[in-house]
Amino acid sequence: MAQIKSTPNMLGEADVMKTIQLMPGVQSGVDGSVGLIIRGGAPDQNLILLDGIPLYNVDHLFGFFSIFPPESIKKVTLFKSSFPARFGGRLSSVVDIRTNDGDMNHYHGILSIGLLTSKINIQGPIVKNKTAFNFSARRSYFDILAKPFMTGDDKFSYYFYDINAKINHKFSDRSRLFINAYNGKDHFYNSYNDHDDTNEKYQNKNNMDWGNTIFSGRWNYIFNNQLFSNTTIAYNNYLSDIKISTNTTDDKKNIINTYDSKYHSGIRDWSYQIDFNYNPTPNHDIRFGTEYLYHEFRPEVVSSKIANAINGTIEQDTTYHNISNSKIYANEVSLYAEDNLKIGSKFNMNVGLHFSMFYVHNKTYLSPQPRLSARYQLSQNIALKASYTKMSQYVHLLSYTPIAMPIDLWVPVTDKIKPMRSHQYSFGAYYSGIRNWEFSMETYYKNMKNVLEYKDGVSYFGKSAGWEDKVDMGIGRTIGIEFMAKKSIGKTTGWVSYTLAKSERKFGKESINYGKWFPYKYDRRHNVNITLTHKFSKSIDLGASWVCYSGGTTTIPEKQTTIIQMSGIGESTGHYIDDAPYVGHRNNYRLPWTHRLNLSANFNKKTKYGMRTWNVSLFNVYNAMNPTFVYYSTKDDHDNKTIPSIKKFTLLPFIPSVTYLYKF
Amino acid sequence: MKPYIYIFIVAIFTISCTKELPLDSSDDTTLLVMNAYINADSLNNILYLSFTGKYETSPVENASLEIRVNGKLTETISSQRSYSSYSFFDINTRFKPNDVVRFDAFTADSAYHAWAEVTVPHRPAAIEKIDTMSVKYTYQSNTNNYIRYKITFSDLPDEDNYYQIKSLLAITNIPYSYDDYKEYTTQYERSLIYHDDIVLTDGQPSTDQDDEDGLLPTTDNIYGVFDDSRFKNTSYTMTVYNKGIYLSSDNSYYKYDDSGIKIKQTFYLISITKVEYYYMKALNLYDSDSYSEELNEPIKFPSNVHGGTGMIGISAGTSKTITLQ
Repeated sequence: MAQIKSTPNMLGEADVMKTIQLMPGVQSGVDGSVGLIIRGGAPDQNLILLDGIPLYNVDHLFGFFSIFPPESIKKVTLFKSSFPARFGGRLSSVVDIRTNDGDMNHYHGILSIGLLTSKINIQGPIVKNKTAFNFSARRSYFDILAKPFMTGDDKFSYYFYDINAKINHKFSDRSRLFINAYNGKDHFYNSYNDHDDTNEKYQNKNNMDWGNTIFSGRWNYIFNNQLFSNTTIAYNNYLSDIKISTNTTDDKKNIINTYDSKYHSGIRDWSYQIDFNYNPTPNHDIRFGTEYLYHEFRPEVVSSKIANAINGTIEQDTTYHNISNSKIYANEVSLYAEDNLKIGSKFNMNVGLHFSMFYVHNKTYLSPQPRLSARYQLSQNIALKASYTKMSQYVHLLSYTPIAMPIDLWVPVTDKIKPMRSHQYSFGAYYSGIRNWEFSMETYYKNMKNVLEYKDGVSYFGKSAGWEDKVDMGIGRTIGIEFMAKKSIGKTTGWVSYTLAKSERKFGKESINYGKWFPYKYDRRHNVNITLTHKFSKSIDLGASWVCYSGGTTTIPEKQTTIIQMSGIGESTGHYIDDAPYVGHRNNYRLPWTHRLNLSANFNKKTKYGMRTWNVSLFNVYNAMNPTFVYYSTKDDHDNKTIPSIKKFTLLPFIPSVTYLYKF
Repeated sequence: MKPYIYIFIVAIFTISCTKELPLDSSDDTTLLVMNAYINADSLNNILYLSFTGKYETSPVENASLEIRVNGKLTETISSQRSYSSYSFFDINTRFKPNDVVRFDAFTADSAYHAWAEVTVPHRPAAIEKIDTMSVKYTYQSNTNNYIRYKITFSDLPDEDNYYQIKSLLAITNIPYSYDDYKEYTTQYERSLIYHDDIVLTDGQPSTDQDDEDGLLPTTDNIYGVFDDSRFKNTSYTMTVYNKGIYLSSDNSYYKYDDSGIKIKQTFYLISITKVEYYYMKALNLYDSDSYSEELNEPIKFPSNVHGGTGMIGISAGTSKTITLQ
């Protein structure tokens, strides 16, 4: 956690997900976003757990900040391979995030005021040595800062917030209860007025709210010194609500048309989980348990109300239920058992089986998933690791823009769309022969089945109806090698990592790319990360991170072709031929490299009640114009000939920021 | 007003910097492009041929086309030059449902050869009935009298079918005197309004104002294509609208009251091939206002042409005509 807090970031906002992106084998999706691309997998292939509860929406501000303020987090564990059998449900990674339990004896707190957000974290005893609490809250205030600059009837507002609360109660030395609550939301609002030549005036309002609410209770019970259990019940609700309205008034200010439209989508999960940990001998650490997840998918409901009036008389007042997708109920059950066993003094193994069942639309999918990882201590300083894991995934994320939007939709597998499966093989070597340094090399190969892509010539466009016909299932393969040198003790800490990777997809002959392999959107061949922190003294420490990776891919037209369009009945004389861009292959354009240096400095001072810190952060110090999006366009040359061009948008230039932090 | 999403996108792009990137055109190969919508019932079909180009397409001079039906050569045709960027072939072969038709196009020097093979789809079952009703309907923010058509037809059993619906309005003008003037008929292809129809909207019925002001972008089904996934092996009643007829003329030799006009509305139900269906879906997107080149990747048009690109579709249709007046 110390590394996460000291890694420099945009607007001084330390971010769990962005620090994970600095690990080898991990990349961001769109530059600057918190989406995780892990070993060539898609952003929806990461199991992100908050105190053991699977999350769907993990970002704010359209994907540029995560919902996890580091002040509320105790521990983050990332698994890229060697997945223990207790985890399942996603193909590419597990990010296990645990929140602070609360201090049973003393009160602590952190207050932070930054350019984007302010945060508070307080923890301490409710009843000393018996009950403790941890409370964190964060809110952005762009809306408040922008308010004085808004004039007239045009209004804009955007904010997000997170609230984490946890109570930790000790019934006895054997029995403990944890109660967690999380609520986070993004809110976007704008209104503006418009008019046309007919003296009609239009008043437009848009309102969007989306976010998560999570409640969970975990009871930890120690039966004896060999066996203990965790029993968890949880509720997770992700909601996206959008409302827009337009009022049209005539020159006498009479309302002549009212249009209100509402969009609603979400997922609700109820879960029950029981885990046992059994240590019969020092050489065996056995875990087993089961989880039941009840999913309620509400893909989308759209309604619109239209009222028309002429001379004050209502001519039409109708509500249309445009999209009334019924809820989809799904049951997911998993069982697992694993043993972390020691064989002799040099050999460790983790052997396990995860078995899952997913029931939806009267269809049952079963998946036994063997897991095996082994570690051999070749010498005092050299260890070797190898693993094999099989994973299954029963949900997909439908998205139609590169950035995270509130209309992105999680949908379950259906009778047409099968679960995704992956097999991953990895091998690693680790060396710790230099004091305070760790060196590692890991190589992996992962193949995936039933991954989804939109078919040629179709687009999701934010509506789920008929989505199964718009996508195709295919296969994927990723291969890579990762190197890392890490120093975790001393005045200077940090790591340097390099990843060489390749990720490809292949689909049916008639659906995508003529059935040929093509590079995945985030197939970035080279990835270098350097992360450093240096403590000059108790009062000054510096942080630096430099990322550099080769470009992903996108699809651009390669030349001009002719298309045939139709106007007329029966006879072909009604056709006409037009020039149009020709796309031969998917993801046929390699984007330029992205590189960025971030710096931060903390100026600490001990005060009577605690420690105050001024953090100065410089994001993208040398203002690298990295591509956030690229798109195809055309322009006219000197001879008035239309020629193709590719344009890039750079969203994140040099951004300095200052944050005030007070710890007590 | 644009949907809310564009407000956000515009906001993002407003604060971002834009720069042109080098376009490395490593693929300079030229492809033959074959395009045709062939009506199996017509003896006058056209196949268009052109070359792809880096900046613009060009016609193919002195090309030839061979047509084989069920493996038998039926026509060998030379290309004609149009005034535009393509050449074309007049096709006179008649095709029957279930025929396997192969088209081979060659350049004069045989350096380029592209071909496509298409199975002529089965003709749809006859349209069973068309019910009409005059209704008040709001379209493009105006409430007017419209004609609502309920068209009932049955799916061809035991196969995946792809259809297109079209309408043609024929107005026959009757002169005051037949001595000097004859009846004449003008035909109009009438665009259909189908926002209510679950099949034509691909499960996303909407209102006119939803398309204008709504939350989610809408892709208009300009080409009226649909598949049978929602009414497989059964019948379906489709709901479409078009506007009442406005009659106006300054020609005093023809009657312009109700007695002087005959109006017939014909609906065509056409079986199309799967590739043609997806091609027209891609065209719907290409022509749609919702398509944004900043947000959406360029459209890759489905192709069934080997050794080149393009789309050859063959359709077989049925029709039903009703007299409106």
